[in-house]
Amino acid sequence: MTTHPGALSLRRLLAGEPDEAHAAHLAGCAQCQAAIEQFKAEQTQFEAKVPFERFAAQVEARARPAARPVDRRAERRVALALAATLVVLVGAQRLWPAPTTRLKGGAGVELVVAGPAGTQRLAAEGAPEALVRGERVRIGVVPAGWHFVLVVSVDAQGAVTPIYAEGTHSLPLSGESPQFLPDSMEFTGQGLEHVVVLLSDRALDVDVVGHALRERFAAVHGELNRITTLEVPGEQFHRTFLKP
Amino acid sequence: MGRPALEVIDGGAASGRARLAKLYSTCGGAVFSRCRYLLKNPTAAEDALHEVFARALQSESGFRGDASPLTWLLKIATHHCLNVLRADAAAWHEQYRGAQLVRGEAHGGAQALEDRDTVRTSLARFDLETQQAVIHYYLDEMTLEEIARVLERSVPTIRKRLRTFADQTGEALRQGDQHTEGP
Repeated sequence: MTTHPGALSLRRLLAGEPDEAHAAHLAGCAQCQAAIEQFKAEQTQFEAKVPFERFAAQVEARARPAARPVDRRAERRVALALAATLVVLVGAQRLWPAPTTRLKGGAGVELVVAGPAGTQRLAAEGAPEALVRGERVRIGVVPAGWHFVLVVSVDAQGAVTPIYAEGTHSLPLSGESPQFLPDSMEFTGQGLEHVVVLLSDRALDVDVVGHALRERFAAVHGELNRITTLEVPGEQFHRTFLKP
Repeated sequence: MGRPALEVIDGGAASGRARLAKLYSTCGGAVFSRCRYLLKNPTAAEDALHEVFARALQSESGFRGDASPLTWLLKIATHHCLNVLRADAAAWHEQYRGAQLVRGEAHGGAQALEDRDTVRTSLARFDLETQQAVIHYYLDEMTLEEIARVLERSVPTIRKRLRTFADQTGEALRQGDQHTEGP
């Protein structure tokens, strides 16, 4: 049976939390001192990997209280208003003079993030992709037999916005080859935004998809990261962004 | 429309950016380590790290009432990451990982994994509270009393959950923790 303090007790000592008994043990125990050194190295590596400014900006952005109307009718009006300001569509040719795709195999999408300085990266799957001001997102699609695409998004307050649609329904894809959707988008506002790309063999009704997305949003209690499959036909892809 | 690059979170002299900086320098590495251990993905771990600290800042009263900020943050981190794993359980990569584990057993049994990994890969079979207790017991090496306090359960309840885990996985409880009070 060990008489050494547990790992958490040692970590607490290192964090400056008072514990006289364990501190006395530590002073005379090489094994525990070695563990402390290991935890110090872990902290050093952490600080190198996650700089404080980035850490603080992300934490503070998420910790801000949300202020949203609760009236559903008002919420719908806000959503409609946001549709005009949520994304700013800009000419894509300046960002991607020669669009290329790295999509492989069956149907798929890539959400490419382009920075003002010309850098590009793929939006992460599973975890929110943090955007900085001025970054734009463009969507690449491999149809693989699907004929229509619809892109919708929902923000942390549950406001659903159609991003790519043709009127009240999905946008027809132009042929079978991999393709980027027209233009790119720049997210405004703050907080998280969950984007869903839906490929289908017939045009989907934007209202039906919006309803399905709101249902999922409610089912996961607004945790956008947890939104997965919507109850609509076709194939779908999900990404979450942290707006600048 | 822009917004302030930084926003001070109200809460008194020790709040805001200065308090966050202190927590970052004293607890950040441990919390990040916990997130990486459970999520096995650096990007997801960093996202979880931000979420944990954001929740801590939002729960001002609970945070100040706890004698150990590190214990409290690790509790939030463990709970959050386990929930993320549960939410992702149906995702394709989990199915793939499950298939790989089954295949590994069929090919001659488990590989020589470290105890920590054995604990982690065994977690999915248990309910959330047992998972939390297991993490605090085996990783944090907390006592039954400490775990009971953190999870707001009785010591016998925590012992029962750990024994269930130990019985089903072959993990051992520490000496003195096996016994149940009473006849």
